[in-house]
Amino acid sequence: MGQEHPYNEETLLSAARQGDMDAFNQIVLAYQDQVFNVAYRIVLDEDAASDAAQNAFIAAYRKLHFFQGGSFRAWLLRITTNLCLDELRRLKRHPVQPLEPTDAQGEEDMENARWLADPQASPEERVMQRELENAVRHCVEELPADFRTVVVLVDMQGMDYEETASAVGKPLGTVKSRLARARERLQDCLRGFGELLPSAFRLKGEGRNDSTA
Amino acid sequence: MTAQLNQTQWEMLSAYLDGRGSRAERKRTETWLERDASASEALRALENTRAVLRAVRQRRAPRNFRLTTEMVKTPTWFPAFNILRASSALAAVALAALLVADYFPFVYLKDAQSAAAAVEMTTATMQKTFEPGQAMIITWGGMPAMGGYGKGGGGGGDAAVMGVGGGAAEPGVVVAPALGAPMAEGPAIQPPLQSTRAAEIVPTPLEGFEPLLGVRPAAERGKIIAASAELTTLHQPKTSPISNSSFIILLVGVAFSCALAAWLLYRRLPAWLRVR
Repeated sequence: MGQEHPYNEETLLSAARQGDMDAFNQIVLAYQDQVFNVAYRIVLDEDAASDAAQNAFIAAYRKLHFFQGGSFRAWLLRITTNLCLDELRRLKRHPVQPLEPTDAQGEEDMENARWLADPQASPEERVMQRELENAVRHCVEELPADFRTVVVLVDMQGMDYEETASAVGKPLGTVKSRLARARERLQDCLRGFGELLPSAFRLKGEGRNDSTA
Repeated sequence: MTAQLNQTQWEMLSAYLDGRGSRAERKRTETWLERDASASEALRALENTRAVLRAVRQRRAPRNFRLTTEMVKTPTWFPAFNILRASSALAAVALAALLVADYFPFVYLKDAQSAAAAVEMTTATMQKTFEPGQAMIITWGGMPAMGGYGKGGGGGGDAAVMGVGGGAAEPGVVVAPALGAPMAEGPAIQPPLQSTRAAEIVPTPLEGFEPLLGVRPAAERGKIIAASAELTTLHQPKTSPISNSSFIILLVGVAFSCALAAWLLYRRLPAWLRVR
């Protein structure tokens, strides 16, 4: 298939603007994990997150002429978060009932088998990851969608404030405020997990019955 | 025990944790942390929370999201959606313009133009009916017995001008529509005043200030004076083939139908076409 070319986003974007879908697909491969993770943390459902991620890439390809420069990641994640928030609003209007009762533990194990398939992860690491995932998923789920989006982008995707502000289409002050409130709520929620959290992440002096005043 | 902090303090700690804020703000936060043990404890808890979030491993995408030509095709009916959307917007704008023209002062422009046309018509009629030098009385504002033209008389009430000729000149009377009364429409349209009789010249002896004020003699008030046979049909308010209310109903129907159709098509659009 030819030589492997180093990833050069500018060149690929230029080619994609001219209609080169293969060039754009290289960008898709570079961003798909991140886009999927952001979508998953916002909509909290793997299928919905897959759909949102796919639609985000299609929308980005069709609207590439609107991208005038700057952070392509922030622009792409803005499309992703908008799609996810639209999906959440749609689900709120038309909630979906599962046809069969789900076995939360069984489902979690299946998911673990897939995304924790890391040959280098020790059994202890896998257990720790599962515990973390359970706790974080539960607490993030309780956040309002706007707070959730900001904390996912900053704390889970490692984006800075400016990029996050661009991705959510809000001023910097709003991002700071939402992030602070999201962290406060998450802290209170995670405190409730107490000993269920990996020991490395438990605050000293905290016990299972410790609760906020 | 969780430190009881207000929203501003939480934001200060959160920004400080991320290395944000001006030098002065960071200095203030550090001073506060040195003085307040509970603030230090809150910062440690916040740092731990951030560490928990960062420790969660990224999931792998469950499949490949590469695009194909089929995926990025626009639905064939998408142009119809754009047309419907534009049509509903245009119809709504036209409706708004029509309502504004109907209910706001701009409509008086229309009345002034009608009045000017009426004056012109009446002048032409009078020239046809009366010989030069012959005095005439023009009554504006309509007489009660005649009913209203269109939306009713406006103007300044019964204002009449009497021109008095010299010597043996006898004044005639001409009835003209009221100034300010719209001529183009109105449910109560009087039939044209026509008569086969010759014009009745009604002598109007001067009484006090009446001629100057243009007020007709008391004996003649309230009577219909037959117009001259030579008078052509008095200016009859025109009725437009389609009234404003019909247009409004039509535009409401068009705007609503197009908007409804566009909304139904919008729901069928793929998500990537709907996203901002």
